[in-house]
Amino acid sequence: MTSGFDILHGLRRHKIVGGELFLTTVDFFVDWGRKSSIWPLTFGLACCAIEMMASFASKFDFDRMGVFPRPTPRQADLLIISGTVVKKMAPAVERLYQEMPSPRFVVSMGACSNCGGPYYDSYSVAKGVDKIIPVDVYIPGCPPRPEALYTAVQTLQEKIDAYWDAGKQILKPVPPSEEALKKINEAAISARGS
Amino acid sequence: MFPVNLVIEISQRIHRVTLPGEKPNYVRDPESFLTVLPSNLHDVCLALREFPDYLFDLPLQMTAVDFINEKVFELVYYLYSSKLRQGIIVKTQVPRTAPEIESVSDIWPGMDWQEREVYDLFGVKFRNHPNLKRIMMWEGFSGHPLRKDYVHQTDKYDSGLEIGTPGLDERGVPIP
Amino acid sequence: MTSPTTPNTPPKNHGQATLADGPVFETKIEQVGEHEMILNMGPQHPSTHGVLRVVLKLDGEVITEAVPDVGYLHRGLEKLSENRTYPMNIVLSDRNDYLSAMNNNWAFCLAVEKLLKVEIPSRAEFIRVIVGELNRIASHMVFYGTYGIDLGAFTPFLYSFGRDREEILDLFEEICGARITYNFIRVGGVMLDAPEGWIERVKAFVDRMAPRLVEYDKLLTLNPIFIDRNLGIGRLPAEKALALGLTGPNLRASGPALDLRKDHPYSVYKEFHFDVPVGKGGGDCYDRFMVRRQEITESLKIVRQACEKIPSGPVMGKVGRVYRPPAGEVFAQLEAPRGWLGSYLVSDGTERPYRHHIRAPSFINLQALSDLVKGLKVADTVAVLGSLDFVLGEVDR
Repeated sequence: MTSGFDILHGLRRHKIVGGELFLTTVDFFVDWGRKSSIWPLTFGLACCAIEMMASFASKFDFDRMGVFPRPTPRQADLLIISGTVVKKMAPAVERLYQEMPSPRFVVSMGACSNCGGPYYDSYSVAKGVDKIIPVDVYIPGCPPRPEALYTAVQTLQEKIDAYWDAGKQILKPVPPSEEALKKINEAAISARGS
Repeated sequence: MFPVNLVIEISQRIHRVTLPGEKPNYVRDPESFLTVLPSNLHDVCLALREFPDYLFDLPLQMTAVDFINEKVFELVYYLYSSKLRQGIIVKTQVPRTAPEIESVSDIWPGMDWQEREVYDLFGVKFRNHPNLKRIMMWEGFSGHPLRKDYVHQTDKYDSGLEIGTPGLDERGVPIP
Repeated sequence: MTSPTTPNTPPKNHGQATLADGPVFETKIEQVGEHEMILNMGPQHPSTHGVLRVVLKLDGEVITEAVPDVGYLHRGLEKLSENRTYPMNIVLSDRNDYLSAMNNNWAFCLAVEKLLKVEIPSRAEFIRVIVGELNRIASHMVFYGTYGIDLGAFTPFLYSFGRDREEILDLFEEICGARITYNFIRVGGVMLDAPEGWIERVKAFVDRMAPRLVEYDKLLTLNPIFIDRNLGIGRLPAEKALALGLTGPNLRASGPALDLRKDHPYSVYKEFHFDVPVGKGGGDCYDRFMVRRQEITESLKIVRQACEKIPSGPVMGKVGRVYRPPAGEVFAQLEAPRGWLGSYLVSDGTERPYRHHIRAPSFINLQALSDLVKGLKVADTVAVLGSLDFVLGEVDR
């Protein structure tokens, strides 16, 4: 492949003597580094923690996506809230989030941390961890399978792609405008015939 | 599973035991149980552990039931003898307005946390307990959640549908 | 006292002590001496046991006092049980001891069946035994793997948790669709019959496990570092264990061979031949580990016998969709991987229980912690915590 502007991957690739040369922006490079090595904190609260451990184990190996658990929040950039957040534990969760250095992300895994889950009428459960800390990705399920946690990390990677944006948006796809969205919706509805 | 004549034998030896009265049409798994007065509970438990024929040395379970219509808390102690491989249930009732009873954690250390849990969730005070503090809820929480008339105060973590929130009926549906 | 007069103060941030307001944590340790230090093993720690907080008072590196603080996963299950119908309660009971959810379902169903006096078909009993014992094997595999991680050995986790337990979870997924929280054992029987060939697959799994247990022994059980770290640590004599209310493998490691499957057989356990492993070293951490390791072998024996003896027939007794047990109370118990799991159910004749109390073995086993770690070093605390094998979902309910 000779030189060309690779819009999808945001790089220019040039063939030179001895190999290949990539030219890109700092945005792209930093985002690529960040999203390929997301290190979560080992923070398991309840049953969802078992599925999180299963996704780190040998059958659903998470290490191949660069995800490796760290025991201290100072070295972690992802907080996976896996399990019920009880009001007694809530100050500790908030403190852990504040101890993580930025950029930091939060994934709410399972029904209990999304919205209280099966304990929606309990006197001691915080109904959703988003009452305590801001959440980036929500995973439904009770408990969600390890494949669902994979999808969450991939969604987070897409989100990180758009994170450190210098405002130029040259290499990123532009989202459709309101009128274009309306036209797309109408076309889809008429194609369905309903 | 447990012979009924064990109850009669024990009640003949420990005279401060009353035989159970039956509620009409009350189903009970055929197990032997004793009903004692709260003031006798500690002595009966000590005797159950010390009698060389019985030796109830394993404190299995201790819990409370809130009978709000009869205005009592019924405390249920389930003891087990590893020598005889038999169990026995000891029950006692304390009034809801002044729930206090002697602690049995000096007889069996395993009752320690279970009594703390009953104190935390029901409000029953245990005299001579080494460390009677809340165990499940945090210090500063007021109220005893497992009581039938518990009123829940909504705080910033709640959604408004909790059991005991004023404005909801007993099934959790908002009263219009 | 119908309504509290003081408002609820929200929970404080434990350990956020500043010099201005003095030590702020609620678990008070009186009289810290000059050489002594307080170390907080906080609710978040890298060991995978969940949200337990232990406050240690140290003299150098030796522990003089340890106070566990539980309640960080208290979800109010017993209060919620009163607001749910009986089938809804089975869903809640799964999340209690989430490593062996089948046994939790079973304990609750035993209690309701005693009240309702339902006849359970024989095939359902055998399926219950098979899934219950498979779940015991899975739970002990998690123990094996995480105990290794706690002591620094990462490889056994990948073998037991990542390979073999996943095979058990595949079998469970075939029969009921879920990996961890099954909601499978219902009142009157089980939810669904085993699909085509499931029993053969279970037998094949049992056959595959025998050489793998030899691998487990090579990795951890006979490992000299593992033996050094466990032998003689955390000894618990039998009388003390009984007085604390310990049951299950923790008690059997100290001596008394108390196993509900042998002493008070429930379901169809009378038909199986198996032994009950007992510890011989005075109840130290290595004994607790060995008892569980040998229980895996015994459970495999039971599963194989059950697969051979299982009859055909229906899997659900005659129970309606909405059942109202008669007013009464009942105690039911079974041998869970952690100990004596009991269920105390008080019914008032409606379709919701009046009171449901779960006798959680982990809650009562955890009381032994403060006695066991006195005089040990901090690293041994992790070994003792791991060997007690508790699950915080059950401790706090």
